[in-house]
Amino acid sequence: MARFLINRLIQAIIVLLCIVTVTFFLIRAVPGSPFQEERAIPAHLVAEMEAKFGLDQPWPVQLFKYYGRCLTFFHEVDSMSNSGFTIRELIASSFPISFRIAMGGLLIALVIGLPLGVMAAARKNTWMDYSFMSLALVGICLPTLVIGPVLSQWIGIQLGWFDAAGWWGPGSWILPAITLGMFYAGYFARLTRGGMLDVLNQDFVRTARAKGLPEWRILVVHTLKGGLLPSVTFMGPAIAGLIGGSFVVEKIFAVPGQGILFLNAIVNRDHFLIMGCVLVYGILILVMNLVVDLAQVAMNPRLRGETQTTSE
Amino acid sequence: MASCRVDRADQAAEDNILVLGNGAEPKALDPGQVQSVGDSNIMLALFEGLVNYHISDDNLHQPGVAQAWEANEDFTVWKFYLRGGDHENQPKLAPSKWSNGELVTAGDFVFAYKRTLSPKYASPYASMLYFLENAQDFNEGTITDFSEVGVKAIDDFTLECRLHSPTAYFPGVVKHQTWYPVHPGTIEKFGDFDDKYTAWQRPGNHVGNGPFQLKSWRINDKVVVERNPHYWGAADVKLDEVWFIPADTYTEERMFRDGSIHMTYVLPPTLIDYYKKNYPELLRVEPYSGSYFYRCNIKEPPLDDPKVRRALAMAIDREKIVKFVTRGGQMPASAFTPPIGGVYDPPDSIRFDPVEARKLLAESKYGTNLPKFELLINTSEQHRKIAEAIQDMWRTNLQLDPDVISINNQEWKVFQVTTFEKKYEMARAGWIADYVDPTTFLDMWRRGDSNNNTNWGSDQYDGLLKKAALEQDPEQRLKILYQAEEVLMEDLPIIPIYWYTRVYAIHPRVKNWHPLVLDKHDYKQIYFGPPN
Repeated sequence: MARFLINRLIQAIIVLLCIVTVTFFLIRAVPGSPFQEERAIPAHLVAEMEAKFGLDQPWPVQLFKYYGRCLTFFHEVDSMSNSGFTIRELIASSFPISFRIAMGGLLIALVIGLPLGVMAAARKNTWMDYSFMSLALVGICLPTLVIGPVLSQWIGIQLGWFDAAGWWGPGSWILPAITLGMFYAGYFARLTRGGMLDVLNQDFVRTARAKGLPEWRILVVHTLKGGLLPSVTFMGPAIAGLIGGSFVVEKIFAVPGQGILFLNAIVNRDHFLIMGCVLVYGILILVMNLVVDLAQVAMNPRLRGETQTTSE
Repeated sequence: MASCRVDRADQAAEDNILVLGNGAEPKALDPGQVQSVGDSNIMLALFEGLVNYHISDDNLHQPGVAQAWEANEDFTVWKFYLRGGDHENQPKLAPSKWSNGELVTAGDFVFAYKRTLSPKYASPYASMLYFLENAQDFNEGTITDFSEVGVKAIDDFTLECRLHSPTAYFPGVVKHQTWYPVHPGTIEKFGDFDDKYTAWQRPGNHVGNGPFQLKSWRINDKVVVERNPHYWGAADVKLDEVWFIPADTYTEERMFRDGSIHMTYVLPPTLIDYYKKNYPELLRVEPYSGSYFYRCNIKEPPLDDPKVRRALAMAIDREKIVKFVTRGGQMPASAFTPPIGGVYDPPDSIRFDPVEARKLLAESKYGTNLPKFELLINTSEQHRKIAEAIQDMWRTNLQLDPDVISINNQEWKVFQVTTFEKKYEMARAGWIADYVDPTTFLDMWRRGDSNNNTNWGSDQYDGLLKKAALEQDPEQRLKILYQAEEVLMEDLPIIPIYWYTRVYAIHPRVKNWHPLVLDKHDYKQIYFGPPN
């Protein structure tokens, strides 16, 4: 197990190194200067600012400085947008907000998606199955760009249940979380249905039925754990996606989270902030994948055996 | 605005807090670095210049830190008498103070101007200070001794500005945020005097001299300013706090209908009709000193022929554009500079005349076989709608082949690079006034000006601007500027489309918020009326 973890850590470092390097070149390939605005700024002033951030140095020097900044996680590195905040402060203030909404979205996705999937599998090829899966497909197909404003208008403004937009308090978290959660609820429902059907078709289930066990017991006690495995696998990318992919939702609901920070960093060509955000997302995805691997090992005895073999 | 929750905007009004939609997230709270309209709104709350904007008339000047001012005969030397000083024949007034309780002195203004003009500080708006003698040379590093720049603290409470040319409208210029003072002690506590990107702008560090002081700033959430107890007129400040909320236009509009904010920054054009029908009492459509136009790169065919440019300009039915596309009460532009009430009426140079346009096109060196060219816009739903309408008018009114004019859009920063490097044929643009005078529009078309970007230049035009700058008689000066604009409109390196309006929604309880062409509102005089 220890070797498994060390292997994954080494892989993670290599992946992060690649991410940072590729991002470094991508930022440079994009036209536009962080220091130029609609009113033209004289070239000598742009040069002053480029010198201040070391953008006038040869690219290998800049690249190695980037590695250094990433190692200290942008400690004391200023944003190029001239707010006086450091990159680390900006990320530290916005990441927890995105995380909160993402967790809300995940909760909603699981609470809606898993029961729908289980029930659809239990009543395979009935009206219940068809209607639940159609609903799931609607959730997947409708972009947040559409769901967000509709929910904001309907639940926020017309019904007045929650804040339509803005970041005012706990009432402001609900609609962004629902908007984010609906997409993933559809995915979880379909994955759970598939996983459950796989397990329900196995011999031990037939044996259990033959022995006269009640259907709910077969579902909950004997098949649920195995049936949820695909959903657990999907949980890692889902959490990373919920946090990283929330910029549309954050913009629609004016949530001051990581997504909007990243988006503004790109719009403003804030090189350091872009890199900081990419690093956060990179680490997030790697950590989530690791957690999912460990969870799978914990849930699936066969995998546990494989990990032990590799570590021996 | 139905809701079963307590209306937050009403509650905020009860608490004396004004909550405003303010466009994009501020990039800086440092007057020397601020560029955007939204950021300059926050500056208006946090700082006070020598002269203040009037609450309801852009042409009037309110005393700010300066209680009085005077100019020499030819308007080249201005003296500002600051509050708190013993000035001859003037009452002694309570001094202006920083939010840390220290006095605001003439030296603080000199310090701020030296900082803004310092090349290392790289202020994007440094050119606003070029009115001062030698300021441009100092900013460009040609001279390094700041004592040669035309600003001097005669004593703690008297500031003298020596200008490079007569400027009768100078009190209107110094209202701009670039002319605000900064607190030297605070700036130097967090770095060199000309360092930018320092932490002085952050809550807890920030020191201003305006009616409000910085309370909090959470990125992408809001900037909160609260009453500054040291402000000389603190007793007359009516609001306790102002919240500036950055939000997307559609989002802030939903916030407004949800009862979360008192005012939107703008109103999307697609919602104007909805508001006219459902909330006419909340909708405001007001003149705004700005011009929407297309730049022509006059070195690129077919736009290198003035007749082609004029034909294109005359083939646009601007009435239709403002009536059916922009729909916000904009005025069809007959020239570049918008009318400045009581000050300047631009020439009536461009009219819609498709017959004449076709004739001009036929007379051009390209005849009716116009080479293909591209209209470049920055990515925006609204710019595309306008561009497509104009593209259609050109095709129809000039009887052009469908593929002659294509529209291309680029992301904002890419678009800027393309425009600055003049790698375009025709490009969308907009320009907003900094002060109430035609030069805020006309100066940029000088040959080689960094905002010109059209390859156009005219000795006659530059000569007229120079002549206007030296003219001491204000009326005569405006006549010369009018002639200059006629020259610009004769050559048409730009095709004016419309003059802006400000379209926004406002809560009925907000009082003393008047239409202003510069849209600079004195927050200390805003208050809430009783609930309906």
